[in-house]
Amino acid sequence: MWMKTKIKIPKHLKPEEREALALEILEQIVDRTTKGLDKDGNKFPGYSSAYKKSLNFKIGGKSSKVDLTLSGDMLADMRLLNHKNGELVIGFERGSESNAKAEGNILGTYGQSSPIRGKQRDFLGIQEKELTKLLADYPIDDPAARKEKAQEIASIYGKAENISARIFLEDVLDED
Amino acid sequence: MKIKAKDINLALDKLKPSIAKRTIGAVDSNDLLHICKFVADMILKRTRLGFGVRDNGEKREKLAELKGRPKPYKSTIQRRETLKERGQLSSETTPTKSNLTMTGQMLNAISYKVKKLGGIIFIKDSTRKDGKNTNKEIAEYVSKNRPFFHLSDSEIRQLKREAVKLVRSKLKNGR
Repeated sequence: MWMKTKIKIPKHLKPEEREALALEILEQIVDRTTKGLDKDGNKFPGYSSAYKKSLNFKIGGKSSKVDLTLSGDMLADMRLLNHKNGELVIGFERGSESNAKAEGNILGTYGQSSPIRGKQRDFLGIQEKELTKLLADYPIDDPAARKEKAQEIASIYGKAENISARIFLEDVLDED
Repeated sequence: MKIKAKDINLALDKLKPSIAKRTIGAVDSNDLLHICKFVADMILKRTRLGFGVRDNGEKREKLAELKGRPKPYKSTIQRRETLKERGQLSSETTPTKSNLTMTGQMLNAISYKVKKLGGIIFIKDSTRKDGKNTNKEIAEYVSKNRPFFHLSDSEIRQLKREAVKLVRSKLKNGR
């Protein structure tokens, strides 16, 4: 199943403002999830004792706090899939490994054909109050403020790109 | 992203300090160290979980299974079972798990440093306990069939997200 969710947003937002807001929503979802809370703000169900005893649990350096992060790939792969006037679609690339992981968490299937009772960990979404807080920076009556906010987000992500570009990996296989 | 460490060391050392200062801007060496540690930890964890990456930006893949699996049940797996019996196999693997971990020395040799313009993640050329090879030599050898010292597409996204967190925290603290 393709894991994605539609988020209703005000219709006055322009494309670049919607993209900026989407980045902030993604950050909010990751932040909340790594704190151990689902999309409704409820604590995730705990890990099974078998998983806690597993080698992967040890290698991942995990604690009993459920944060849906082992390699970190799943949350990193969540993205803005689409946007149009009044709507954002956030989710995962269809058919990807991360989509399968998200499906396991959201439906509580974890590789099984049917959900395991009490193991759903639905992180894909945003609460009304979270969205309202973010939207306060995109006021309906102040296009200049909205534009400034979108530029600020673009600047933050631009700076982050520059930092990332300055990280190098040594070439292990020297071809000299 | 991929570059020979010796080349970048030379290039970064030759830069005039004024150019370096202008380019670095608000990001200091501690910030880059933080990001380097994040990347080094990511490679270590993913590899220990049993996944490799062929080249930067590609999808992660399961590391090739160990020799002797499933049949005949011998060679590498048998040797690792013997090491386990002797208490010499790392606690972060099992005799049959392919995760480039036997004693743990090679992956623990992943290190990082910051030069004037950037951070480099590398494998220390340190001599192993048996004194026969260095960790870098072992990394070169295993990378031929089990490439691991790259960043996957998802890991590059994680790196960028960590950089966003860094920029946001600097803005919040007025730095």
